[in-house]
Amino acid sequence: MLRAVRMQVTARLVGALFACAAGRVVAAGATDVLDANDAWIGPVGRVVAAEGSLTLRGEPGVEQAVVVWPGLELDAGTIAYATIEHGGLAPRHELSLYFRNADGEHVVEVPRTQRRATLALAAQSGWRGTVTEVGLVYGPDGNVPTLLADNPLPVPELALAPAPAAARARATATGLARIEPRRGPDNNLLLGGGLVAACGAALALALVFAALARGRGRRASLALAAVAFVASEVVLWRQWLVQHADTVEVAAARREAGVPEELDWELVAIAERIRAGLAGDAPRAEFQLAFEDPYVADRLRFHLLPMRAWRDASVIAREGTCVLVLTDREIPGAWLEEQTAFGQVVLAASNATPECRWNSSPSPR
Amino acid sequence: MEFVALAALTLAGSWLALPLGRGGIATAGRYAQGYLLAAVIVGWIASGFERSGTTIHAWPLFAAVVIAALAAVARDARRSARGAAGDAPKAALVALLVVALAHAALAASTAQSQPPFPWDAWTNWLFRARAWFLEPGVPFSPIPLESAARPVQVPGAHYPAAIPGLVAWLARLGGDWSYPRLLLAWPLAYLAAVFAFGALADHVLRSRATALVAAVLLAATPLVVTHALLAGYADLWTMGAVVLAAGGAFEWRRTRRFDPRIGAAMFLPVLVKIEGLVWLAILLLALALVWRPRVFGIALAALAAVALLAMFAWPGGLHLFSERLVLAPDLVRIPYLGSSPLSLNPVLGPLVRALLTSQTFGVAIWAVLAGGVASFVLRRDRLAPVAEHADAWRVVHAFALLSLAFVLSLFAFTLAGRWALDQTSLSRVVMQLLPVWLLVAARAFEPLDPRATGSISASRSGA
Repeated sequence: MLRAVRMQVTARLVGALFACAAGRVVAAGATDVLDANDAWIGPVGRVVAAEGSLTLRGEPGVEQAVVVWPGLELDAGTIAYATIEHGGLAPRHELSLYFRNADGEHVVEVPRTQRRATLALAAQSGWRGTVTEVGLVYGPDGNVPTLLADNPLPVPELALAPAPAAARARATATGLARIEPRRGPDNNLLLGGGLVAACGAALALALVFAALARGRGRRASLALAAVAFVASEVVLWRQWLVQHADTVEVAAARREAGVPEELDWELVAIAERIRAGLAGDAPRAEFQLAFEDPYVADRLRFHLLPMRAWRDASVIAREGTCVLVLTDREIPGAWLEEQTAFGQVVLAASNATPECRWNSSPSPR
Repeated sequence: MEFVALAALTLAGSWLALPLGRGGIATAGRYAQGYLLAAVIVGWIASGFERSGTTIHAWPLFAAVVIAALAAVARDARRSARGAAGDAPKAALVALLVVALAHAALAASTAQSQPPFPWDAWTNWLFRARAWFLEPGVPFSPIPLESAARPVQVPGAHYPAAIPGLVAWLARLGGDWSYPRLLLAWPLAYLAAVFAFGALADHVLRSRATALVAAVLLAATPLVVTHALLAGYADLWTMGAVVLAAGGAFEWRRTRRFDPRIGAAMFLPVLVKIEGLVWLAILLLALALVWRPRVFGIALAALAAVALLAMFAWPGGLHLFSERLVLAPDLVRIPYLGSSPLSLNPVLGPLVRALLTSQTFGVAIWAVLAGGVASFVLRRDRLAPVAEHADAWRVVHAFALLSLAFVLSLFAFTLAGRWALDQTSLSRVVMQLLPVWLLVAARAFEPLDPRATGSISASRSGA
């Protein structure tokens, strides 16, 4: 009897060892943790393991870092939440969760928080079947380099959990505590706001009661409204201060790098070169710059001031490009050809098709 | 030099300010109005010179502003010698100062590190300012190009040019184009709009505490703060101008006398942004409806009936003045304002999201909602004409309701619904009207006990 039990235990241990060798299996109902002690690779940027933590750091010029835990065999049905512990994102950076299953690769945005983020892994985002790789992608949140000299993100661990109440509560807390970006298409729509809306609803109810009540009831209602207001201010000021620190840090980095503090400093630099080129004694001809994105066209027009070059508006040309007729002066040969954050840029004298194509997306309008 | 110019504008413009508010609030309100009035008017004058390519105006205009500012200093020195103690509730006053100054400091600090925000700042407002500064007299044309003279094309070439004129003027005084200095005009516009609103609320509400709390809510509204940070946009200025225009209309009905300062205040939105013309038109309509409710009510109903008949009963709709005025079932075109196809847009979801469930308007819009529920649904007696200056209040109510109806119909039926669906322009149009809605809502929360409030008549000490 004892021998039979011993053999059964040994068989299970051997089976588990084989399973570990073949891939990682999560026991149903348990939380699995991925960290520096598990097998990982860093295919992009620099990923360093130190003191039990992984640090993701962008390379100069790339500014993106990726860490992947390969060789897993996770049953997506038993995992509903991922919690990422981290040391705080650098200004204007974003973090995404990457995973691979039979459908291919998937990337899910991780809400920006200051220390920890828990996100629900829904089937809509592709989280189903057997997941063979999980990773994190970290880098600037737009196509414009931040020029931050150092953007390290320490990641002590990535925990994958089933759906206990605690994980669900943490995911809700993450959504409420999320720090929303203040640039892009949401200039006039400040995203997020669950907590602020809750404070607003409480304030509205309190004010309605205050309007109807007298004496102590009115005073109590007004006190509740004041508490709701103060709570909303605390939530908002947390965001104001983080965003302000981001702005200041990026501006300082650009100042240190000796580049303009404009959001699209590369366009500023190119505009300066175009201006300098057109200031010469070149014979007259016509130029065209073509843009795939009107945003870049408009932005470059702003930077090209003053130049009697951008008199013609950017118009939508064939193939959805946006053409900006620059000037009526001719400059022999291609005189601007470089790889930028907006893509390959070539500017040349031409009376044929546009030569300069910018590949800018998304439009931060 | 830009700092001196901004300070001088604040003082010089106080000559045009309406006497709103009581005690110290009135003083702050006077300078706040002064900044908005002088900055916009000087910018409008400067834009006229810039259009013609004349740059000699900068220093004479500055000298005139400084002289007016010095005269205002002398005036105020005599006034303060006579004493004008305020009795505003301390806690509410401190709250207003803390909230407004903290946000203004944040915006001013951000202006030192952040270049103009994308889109409007550099496609319209600062674009034209910078073009004028660098190439005086450079002409603008709307897109698509309509002129053979090849002017610079900008989407809003037909927009009023007071803000570009102001920035170009400041840059000329400073001698160079420096964002950290030029963009300080925006945090100041935020402070001016908030304190002008505070003074107006203090002027028209019986409860001074309620008035100051309403100003606190406006000062803390996230989109209003964001526009202090969105240096280069004109919506914050429009909001401030709407506050002044509403104050002017209130004073006109209250005093039954038309002061030139009332005219300046009411016309200010027109100089700032194209929406300003619409807000002025709605305000004038509100005034007319209160002045002669039967006559203008019938006229408005008749006009609406004629318009609807022209659109739906006349074959193909009404087309007048070489298609410049079109009222058709599927299209409306109004000279200067533009044209739009008519269709019902599914904007209810975006409206709720933009107004209530996002952070955009913070708790202020909920306070407006609560005020609406309390005053229009639960306690209609709060709107009854027992209040002092009932006619003046009716103008404010009519303006608030008509502007709300306009905004809702604009986004529900016209091409503007596109902006509502992607939630960009919707909120800033609402922001321009938010102070008026807050003012109406605030009435619902005033204590009913008259002993708890100051005498409204005794409060008009003014400036």
